[in-house]
Amino acid sequence: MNIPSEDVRDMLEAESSLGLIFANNLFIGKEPTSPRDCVTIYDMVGYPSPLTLDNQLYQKPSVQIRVRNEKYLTGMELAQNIMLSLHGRAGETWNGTLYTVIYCSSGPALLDWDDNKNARFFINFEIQRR
Amino acid sequence: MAGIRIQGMTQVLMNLNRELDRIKYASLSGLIKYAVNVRRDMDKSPPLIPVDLGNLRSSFYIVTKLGVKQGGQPRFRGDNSAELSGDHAAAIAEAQGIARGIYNPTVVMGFSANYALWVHENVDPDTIWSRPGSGPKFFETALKNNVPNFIGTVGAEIIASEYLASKGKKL
Repeated sequence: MNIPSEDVRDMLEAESSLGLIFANNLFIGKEPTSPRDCVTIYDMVGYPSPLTLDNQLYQKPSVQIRVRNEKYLTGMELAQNIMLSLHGRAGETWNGTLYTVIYCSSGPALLDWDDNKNARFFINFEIQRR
Repeated sequence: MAGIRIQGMTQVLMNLNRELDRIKYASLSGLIKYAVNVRRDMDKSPPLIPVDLGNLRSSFYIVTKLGVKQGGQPRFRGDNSAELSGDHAAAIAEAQGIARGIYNPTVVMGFSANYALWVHENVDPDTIWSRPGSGPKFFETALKNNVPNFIGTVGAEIIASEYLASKGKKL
């Protein structure tokens, strides 16, 4: 089973309209200094996993996706499109893991303007998978 | 013509309403306990609330329609203490408005510091947090970790109020 951010990366890459390519403008775990316009996925704490009768692992992790762009409107638009692309996905299998549901729990919203005058936005997603 | 007349309906309805009021009050009491547990968890289980001057930590509040249960008069430090105090008063007033506007038992809690969102959502691994064990998502983590205790906490208050009511006492 992949970590959630890896599967979410694949979901975003597969959505060609977003124009995101891993290690080019899409990253995991750490926002790089360049390129200025990029998207980073972070693994976050989720809800506690329930105990199941058959001991099958059912996870409820969450991810934060951060969009950085030198233009506010472009960045916000991309964040909005990422949200629409992931929110409400259900019953999809990615790399052998069944994603029973993915939903946006907050955002997109402006986090800040960084030291290089880029606008940074965040979107939080809750995930359920097994 | 023979008929059946039921007497005492008013008394039955009054008793039911009294019981409902007791359960609502006990539920609110349970919600407050849950909120207090969440607040305690943010200083006990990582990620803890990040602390510089302590203003973020002080800006936490718990409000119900009955009043401010925590964070009534926090002491803020530093140059922007006046601004933080003003923001806090505004946040409390807004929270009270929300709590009073909802019929069901409601607790509103949060941080009034204007930079709370940035600290909470800044998951950048390069950020150095001065308080050991502290970091982003401190509030969300505490809320999520306490979800399994939620029904138990509220339920225990209702059961306790039932027991006390049977002894002629109140919570």
